[in-house]
Amino acid sequence: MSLAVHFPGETLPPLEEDEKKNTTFKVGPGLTHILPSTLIVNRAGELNIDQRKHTIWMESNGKRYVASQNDTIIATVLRSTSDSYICAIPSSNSPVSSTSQAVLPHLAFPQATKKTRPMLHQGSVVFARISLANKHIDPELECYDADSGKAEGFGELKGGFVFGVSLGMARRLLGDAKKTRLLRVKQRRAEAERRGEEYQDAGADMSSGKEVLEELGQNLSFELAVGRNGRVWVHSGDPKTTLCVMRCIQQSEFLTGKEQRQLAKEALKALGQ
Amino acid sequence: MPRELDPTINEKSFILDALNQKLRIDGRDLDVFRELELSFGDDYGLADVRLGKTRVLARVSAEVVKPFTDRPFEGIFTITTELGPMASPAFEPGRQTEQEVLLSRLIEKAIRRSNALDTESLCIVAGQKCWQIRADVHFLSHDGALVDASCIAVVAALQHFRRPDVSIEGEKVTIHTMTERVPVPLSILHVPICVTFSFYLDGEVCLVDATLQEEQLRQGDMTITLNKFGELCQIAKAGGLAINALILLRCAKIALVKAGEIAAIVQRRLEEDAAVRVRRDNLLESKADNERA
Amino acid sequence: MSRYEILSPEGLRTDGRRWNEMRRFSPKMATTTAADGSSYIEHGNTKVICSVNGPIEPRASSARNSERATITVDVCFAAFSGTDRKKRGKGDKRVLEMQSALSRTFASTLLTILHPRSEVHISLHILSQDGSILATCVNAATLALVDAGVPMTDYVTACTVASYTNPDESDEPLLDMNSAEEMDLPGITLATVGRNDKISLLQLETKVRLERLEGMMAVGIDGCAKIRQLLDRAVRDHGNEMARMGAL
Repeated sequence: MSLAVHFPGETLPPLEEDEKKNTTFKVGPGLTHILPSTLIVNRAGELNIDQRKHTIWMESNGKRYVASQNDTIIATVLRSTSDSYICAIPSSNSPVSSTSQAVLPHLAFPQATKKTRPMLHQGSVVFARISLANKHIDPELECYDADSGKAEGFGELKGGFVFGVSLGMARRLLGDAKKTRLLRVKQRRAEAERRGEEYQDAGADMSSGKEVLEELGQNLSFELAVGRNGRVWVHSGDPKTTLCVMRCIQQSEFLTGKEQRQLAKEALKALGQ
Repeated sequence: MPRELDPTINEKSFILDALNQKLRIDGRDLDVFRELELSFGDDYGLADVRLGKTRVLARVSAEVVKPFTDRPFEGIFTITTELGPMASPAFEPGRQTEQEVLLSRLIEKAIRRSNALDTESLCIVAGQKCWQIRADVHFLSHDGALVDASCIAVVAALQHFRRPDVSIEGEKVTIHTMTERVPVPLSILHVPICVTFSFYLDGEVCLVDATLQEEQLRQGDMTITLNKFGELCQIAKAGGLAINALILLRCAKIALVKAGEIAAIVQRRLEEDAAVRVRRDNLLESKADNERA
Repeated sequence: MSRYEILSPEGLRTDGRRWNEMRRFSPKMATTTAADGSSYIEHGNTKVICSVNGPIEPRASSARNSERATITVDVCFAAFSGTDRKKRGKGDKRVLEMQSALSRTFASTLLTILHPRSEVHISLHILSQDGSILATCVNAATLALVDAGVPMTDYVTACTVASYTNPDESDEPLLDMNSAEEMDLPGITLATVGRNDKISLLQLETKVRLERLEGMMAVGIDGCAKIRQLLDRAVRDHGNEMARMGAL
């Protein structure tokens, strides 16, 4: 697997025949389509092509979240108006997060009517889906599953703790970013060269980003919600467990799968499990 | 208007819950500072302080000016601070907020009014010429404890600074360039260090070096400035939660220990930097010799 | 003035007081009719007049908080209050600092939660300066807030304590600094809430040994308790007077 990093302004070379496989691709974020068949990169990152889903997009890690439809996010309630809650969608893992505003209608909850609607207060945390994203108006949120109309985990998140991770990390935790990624390839290649060997990709440097969760989940019981805006909510009965999960996730961003498991094991040992 | 997002209900109750069990979000003990990183620039008088994600830069510079008429035997020392949008998007440029005024007053009281810098040594010709020492504090990133970090940055930069040497012959004042004569350090009388305590849960828990998130949730705070000789330079507990006198005294004792530790780190870093400089200067000199030969 | 004149060998200070004596403290309540609450305090030669308005509709939208009342403080030094005729501008950092300290002190003592989306405005005028200004401001504001009927948990009272160094290097705390003592000696301003030793405001601006802090605080807490009695008496006298006049 090669690292195909492209920069804004580059024109993508025409796709190879085996990449194309005679299908039409949907153009995703980071690419501009100029008719008839030119693709220009507008965001630096790694080129991704998914043949099964027929999509092509640029993958890059960022801090600021831009709302897009059907993303599940974790938002904070700012205030309530006559028919909706005004929410902030925080993003970035810096101490002062940047935010964008969104509207969550009072009726956008399962089985909500004018009289029975969930009461949310200033500072409540909700897990919601972006039902409408448009560059001209604030995005709209919904707290129910689009297919079933049921809660399915959406709604207010009570208790627990919320912290920030990078957007790429959030996507990996959700398991829908690029399945695997290479880490420290350059460093390892240099190490291999020093030893006089050819660098071989043995899969050891791969990480799906979820190993840490898999390892923690086997030994601890906790609830977790990840928003695509880079917010993670963790809840467990005991603050120590919650903090342990939080730290493991935050520290695992640049670790390989093996190292992530090691990290989680050590944290569990320190926790006395 | 960009505004800091208040901590959510979840974060608030979780942090307080954890504090009740003596746990902090970043895993520190209640009375432990974040790791202090201090580095100096290539020039004299530039100090870069990092305390966790908080980062403060202090620059000391000097120029020759006329002293104030009411203090003809003293030089001038000013500290300027500005909270800009670089530190946090919540800070607006240009306008002085209450937070900024309080911050600059605190640093002023901690360093300038406690006479950390001997201003009389800055006099060149009484009533005619004196050095004006200026410390500019820049906040690069805000994650709590701005006062503590900026105080460390200023005292470190002052100790690191060297001003050009001056010689006086009769009426004639000569300012020698840095290469002509070895520049002289400022006369620092003592090294004040600020320690800010944050109070929670009706005063039962007091934290040292709170992060921004912890600062947003605190019920009261107190900044104690002292030097390693056990001299208090300044105390500021401006309102907030009323705290038992005994707890405040205990805080003062903790602050003394912390001030000693931090002053020691600053001292060590200064010595390390001086050693690097000597090595580099020697290297440069030997090179010049070679060229001449 | 040389420092030894501050305390004579007989233990008398420049104005004839002993170490633990306060200057004459005369509080008056309900002095102006325009405000909801007002007070006037003469503490030695320091004179402060205070008026309180509130809880009122916030005058600036920044003072609106949906959960509690905000407290805004204006401190104004009269041009004739000091020895030189000098007007302190609105933007003076020292004045801003005083305002913020006062507003934060009362924010934790007043039951602001009872009046959301409103403002309590405290306006203080310093008519004459002779030391202990911040402390007198705190006392005047407390009295005016009681007069205005703003719900509060207890009296906030403040006083100052200096630390005097004897010729033999031992130290002695001096209660209630006048301006001459304030110039020459290090000292603290301390405000307590209620009868116990809970300190809500503590300020020190000059260098002093750490060991002396405890002694100064002990004397200061006693001084605050004394002022609390005096304020309490003023409130009760005022209440009795009102009852006699048939106002209650």
